[in-house]
Amino acid sequence: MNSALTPLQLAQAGLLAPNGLDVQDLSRTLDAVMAHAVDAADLYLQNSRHESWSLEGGIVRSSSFSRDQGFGLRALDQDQSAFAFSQQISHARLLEAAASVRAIARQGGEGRAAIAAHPSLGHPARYDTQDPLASRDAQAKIALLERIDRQARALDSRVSEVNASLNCAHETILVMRQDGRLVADVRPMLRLSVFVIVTRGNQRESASSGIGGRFTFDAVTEETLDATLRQVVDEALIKLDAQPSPSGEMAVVIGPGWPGMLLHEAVGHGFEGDFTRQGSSIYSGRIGQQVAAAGVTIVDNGTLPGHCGSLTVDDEGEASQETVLIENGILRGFMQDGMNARLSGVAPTGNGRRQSYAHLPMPRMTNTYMRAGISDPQEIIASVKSGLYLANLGSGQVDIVSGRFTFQSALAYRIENGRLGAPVKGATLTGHGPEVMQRISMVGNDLALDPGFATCGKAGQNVPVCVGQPTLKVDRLLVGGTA
Amino acid sequence: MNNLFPHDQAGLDAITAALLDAARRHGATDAVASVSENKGQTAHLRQGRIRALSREVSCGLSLAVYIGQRQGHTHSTDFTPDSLEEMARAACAIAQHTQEDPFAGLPDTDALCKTPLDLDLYHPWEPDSETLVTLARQIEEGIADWPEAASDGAWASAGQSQVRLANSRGFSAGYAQSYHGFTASVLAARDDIRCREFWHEGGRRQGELPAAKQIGAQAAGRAISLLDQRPIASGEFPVLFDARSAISLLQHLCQAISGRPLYMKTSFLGERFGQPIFPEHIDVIEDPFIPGALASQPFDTEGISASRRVLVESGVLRGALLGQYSARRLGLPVTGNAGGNTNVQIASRLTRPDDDLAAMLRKLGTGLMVTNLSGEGARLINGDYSRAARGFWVERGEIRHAVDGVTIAGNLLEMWQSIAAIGADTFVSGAFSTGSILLSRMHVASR
Repeated sequence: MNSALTPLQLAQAGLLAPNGLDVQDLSRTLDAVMAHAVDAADLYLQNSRHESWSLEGGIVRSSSFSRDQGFGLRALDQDQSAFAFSQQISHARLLEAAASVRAIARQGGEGRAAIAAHPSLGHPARYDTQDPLASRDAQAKIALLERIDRQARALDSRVSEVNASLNCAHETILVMRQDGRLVADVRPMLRLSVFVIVTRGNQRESASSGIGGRFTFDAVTEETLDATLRQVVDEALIKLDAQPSPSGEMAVVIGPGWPGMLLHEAVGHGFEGDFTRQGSSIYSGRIGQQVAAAGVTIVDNGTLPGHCGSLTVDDEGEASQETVLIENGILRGFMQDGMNARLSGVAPTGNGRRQSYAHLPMPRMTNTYMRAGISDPQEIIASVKSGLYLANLGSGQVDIVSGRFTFQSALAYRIENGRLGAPVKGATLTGHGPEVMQRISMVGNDLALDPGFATCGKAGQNVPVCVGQPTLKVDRLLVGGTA
Repeated sequence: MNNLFPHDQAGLDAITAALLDAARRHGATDAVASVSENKGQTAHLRQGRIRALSREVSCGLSLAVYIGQRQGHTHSTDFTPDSLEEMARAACAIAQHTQEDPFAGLPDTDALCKTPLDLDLYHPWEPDSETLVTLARQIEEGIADWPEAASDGAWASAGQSQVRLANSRGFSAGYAQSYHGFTASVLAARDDIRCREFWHEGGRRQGELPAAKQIGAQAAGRAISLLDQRPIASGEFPVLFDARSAISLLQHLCQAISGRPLYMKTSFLGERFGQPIFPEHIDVIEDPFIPGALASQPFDTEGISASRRVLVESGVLRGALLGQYSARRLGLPVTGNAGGNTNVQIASRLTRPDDDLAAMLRKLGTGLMVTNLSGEGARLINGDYSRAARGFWVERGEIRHAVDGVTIAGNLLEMWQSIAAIGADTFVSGAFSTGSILLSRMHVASR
């Protein structure tokens, strides 16, 4: 692929020309929608190619390739939307969709002038447009998975099964708005995931991890791969000796990186502009208030190069940015898409995202993390007399209305007299997000982002995200276990 | 009957036949093609405003090819002849690279469904958008009757789909189905306590749906009952899962007896076949052929008909859920479960017709009734279970107050074995059907 072409040129070549369309046809579609009494409209075209290879039982036994394309057309009347999508990008389907979304229009049309497209260019690119599918041939992809299998088994004789999979995606989007703004983006994604099972006698444990981002194979170094495999195998082996988790309220030290999913769940969703505008978030209307302990600063930053949540532009064509959500404990701002920003009287923040052309955009997180503090992580552990160290996190959930969250430990240890003690399993941590944010008493200097396997689900739509944090100490958190 | 889809079944058959033919020309020794078409619409309201009126027309086409024991898969949404050719070419190219898998391949022809049953799955409903908006408004009217509740969303939807499956050994069959439903999401608030609850009901016929207003009222009533929250002490107590939350206990069972976890040895039930995993009074039945039921199907995604059978008989684990690949790999007979379980029901022989929720609360005595669970804290590899729960504290058979933010923990095997009773208050959600389930004790952790 010729990377000298701009995303807009690539989008025109990939989405319009093969379907016999040009930018005029997009304008005409929006004209047809705007001839009715609606406030705003946008047309989103997308194509994607996806390839996956998976290894289990020592062989790469299956692979799949898929292609998808389509458009979604939305008409907005204040907070009300009508939406139609099609998997065929054609004149006829665009006009059908335009007729269908008029359902939302108030009585009477306003007969506006025709919409002229004006391309919006020059957004700083947060990733290359290179296609990860094409960046290696099939043999190289298979060899990579085989190497993972061999190497994981070689690390310990108790490794009894390895699953490794490789997912590559390449998508192009083109979005045009009723004011003529036309924006394109070309997005790569590569994700490598590893799952191991270890067996000792009739006891089995497992662990998983991965590497991912908006990049091609060149970004996956041997060192990263080795470290990932070592960590996954170690985690599974440690679990073989894990004891039942203690129960009750206790001090919890949360390790850096992936456990930042806690913030994503307990804080992040409550900062999304749809929930805050509707008043369903506990953080609604609290800008300027102290909502976390001093020393806690949390940002959403779509501009990090090549991370899973990074975006050059969001799915409404807004440039991504860094948005400070909480600064030294004070609530500073929310994440917005175009509609919620407009209705809330604030600027959009580049958080308008959608799973695909078949879904409506919503305010969504990108890369959301807590900034580093000043404490040495060892000091943080040493400060706890009796508690839990959460080294790795399982999955989590939050009820943004009550603020309650739940998540499972993947790997945890007891802390006794300031030292890590026995590993424990089966711990469930539950808490009230806003309360926990006030109980953070130490923030480490070791900020890390997750290695690239996070996906966030909201209202049935999944989008890739990134989470992160430094080591943290929460003075009291409820741990549910069986001991 | 009027055909609502872009193609009729004969048209879909022509597409799958062309795709199989292209696969053969590109070197496939065997192939299976499936195609689906979906059509639906949803009205989503929130507090009287239309959040979204959406119309969906979508389709998908999948091809799996085998070249000897190697396989490749492709998916597309484009039915044009060029696209079919490209799919076949790409799948065969992939299959050249994958490694030989002795268990790969089509099902034996004998195992394939001969005469697909008509299971009464298709009752299309294509209302105009005003009708759906009106129904969503009625859902919100059901919420408005409750002073402390507000709508956080009401959805009315209508949908239909059809599939066709064909393979290179002569199988070709298809069927259509419909699903229409109402959903309410409710916010309730009193002083500092806020909570959200939802309710959903759906069915294959529009006519069998409950009144829309009732869905809103049900969600609102449940949300408000959760406002009277008080803390409880940690400890070991009997726990009653209400029928809706008890569905999860059946889901964990079905996951743990599915092919992949069994052959990957990641299921704690792998060595438990033929052994008791529930008390003797419990049976679990799978039935793919219940007319009109939500998980009924004439054949699975490989063309095999399952049959009504016991998964758990008098507490003893008897059946696994296997597609062709896992069956071959495990050396067991295929059960027609490629694509998962069909309708599954758990029942106790001790259940009496008058064992309604009130009777189950009396059996619980003093302990916790769980109505909502969150977190994915059931680990299939060893059965360890730890999830966050919401519900009610019950004393001497009477609800005292709501409880939130507690965790319940145990091991699934011990939990199942401690089932003391199943209520007659049967609830069906998708594929699963159960009454409320009483466990004799669990660890409950509270603040």
